[in-house]
Amino acid sequence: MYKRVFFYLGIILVFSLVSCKNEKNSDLNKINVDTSDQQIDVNKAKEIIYMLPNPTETALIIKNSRNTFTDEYLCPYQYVDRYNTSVEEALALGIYSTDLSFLTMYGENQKAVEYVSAVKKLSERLGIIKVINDSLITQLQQNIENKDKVVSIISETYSDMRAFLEENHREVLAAYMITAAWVEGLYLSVNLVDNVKTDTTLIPIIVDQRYSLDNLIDLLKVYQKDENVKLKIQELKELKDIYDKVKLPMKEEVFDALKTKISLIRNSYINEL
Amino acid sequence: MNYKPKAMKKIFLILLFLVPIITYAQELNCKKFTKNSAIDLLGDFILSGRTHSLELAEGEEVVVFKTVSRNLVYKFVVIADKHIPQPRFLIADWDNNIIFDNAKHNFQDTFVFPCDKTQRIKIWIKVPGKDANKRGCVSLVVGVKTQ
Repeated sequence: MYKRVFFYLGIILVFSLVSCKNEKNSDLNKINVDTSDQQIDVNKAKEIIYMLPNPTETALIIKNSRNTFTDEYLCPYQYVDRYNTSVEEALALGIYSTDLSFLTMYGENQKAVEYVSAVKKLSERLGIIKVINDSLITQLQQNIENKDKVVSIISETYSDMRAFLEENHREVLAAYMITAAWVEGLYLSVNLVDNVKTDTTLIPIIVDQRYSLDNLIDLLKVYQKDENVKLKIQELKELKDIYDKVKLPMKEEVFDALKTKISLIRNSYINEL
Repeated sequence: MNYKPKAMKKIFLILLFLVPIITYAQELNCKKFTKNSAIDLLGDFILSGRTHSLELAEGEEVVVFKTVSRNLVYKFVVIADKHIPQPRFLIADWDNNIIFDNAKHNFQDTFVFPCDKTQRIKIWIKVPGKDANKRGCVSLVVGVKTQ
């Protein structure tokens, strides 16, 4: 009886070790950095990490170039009940996280409270119960007048939500959340441009997002066995095709193509098509 | 040697259940270490990306790909707990030009980088030494603020 139990336990152990190893090696790139004393080979790395800017960083970049605030382009918090599947919820969580960071970065903390509720609802539905709890809400309420503290709390909360999903074997949902957060950042940026020809602050930021787009596509490729992820990669590759045509000064037709594409992607994420 | 199969089986079963519990406890400790020590080192920088708590042995390495944006200042924090030596960390641009190597700066655990152009960078972290049995926690956090 015991022999059989050990046999099956052994098989489970071996399979779990093999599957972990495959996951780790699935996206190894061959990049060598030559240093004075040794070759650094990415293939030797125990782990490869794609660190994308979190929504607070995106909001900080936007705030640096636009002092005036508008909530016109945010995803209405009332939409929160539209999302039913875990993929929709993860995408919406990313979108609302960026909107929330945007609001707090501009000191719109009263409005931000509604978005905290939306983020809390979605995180509960996704089972991220430990991250957004009542003590965090109390902490936010106590610091509502302290913009820097609120920004810092929101930033750490987003990081914790991502970590929770990734550490609980729900990396694909984390990837959706990160993707949606980035898409919302770009969507807000393009919509804040008044005049493509005269804008000298936001346009360079929008152009620079091509680097994050490359990192984002690389991150999603790790999970491309998932058909839905494959679709998201395809959409982002179409966006990248437009980016490949971008040069400074940006032509109006290229900007319009970029704006249309990012709007289509973002609106599909919030079920607004 | 007096071999008792039943006792051996019991020990094996206990170990089978203990190992995941110990691993989980180590992970929790590592996360706590990151929260308590690494984030503090960010000072007035806002957390960028997510915190990373990595269980590494001597000789092991990780690579991080990140985008940094112009007109922002970044603070990179890489620290290890008392079980392993301070990791070496090196930052290079996409063309492999080295931006910073802490081996040339007395293995310091932080690096402040005022970024003048948006670019993809690579961060390479390696725990010095060769003893694979010596394992510990390595924390990586990146902070950001305006120039």
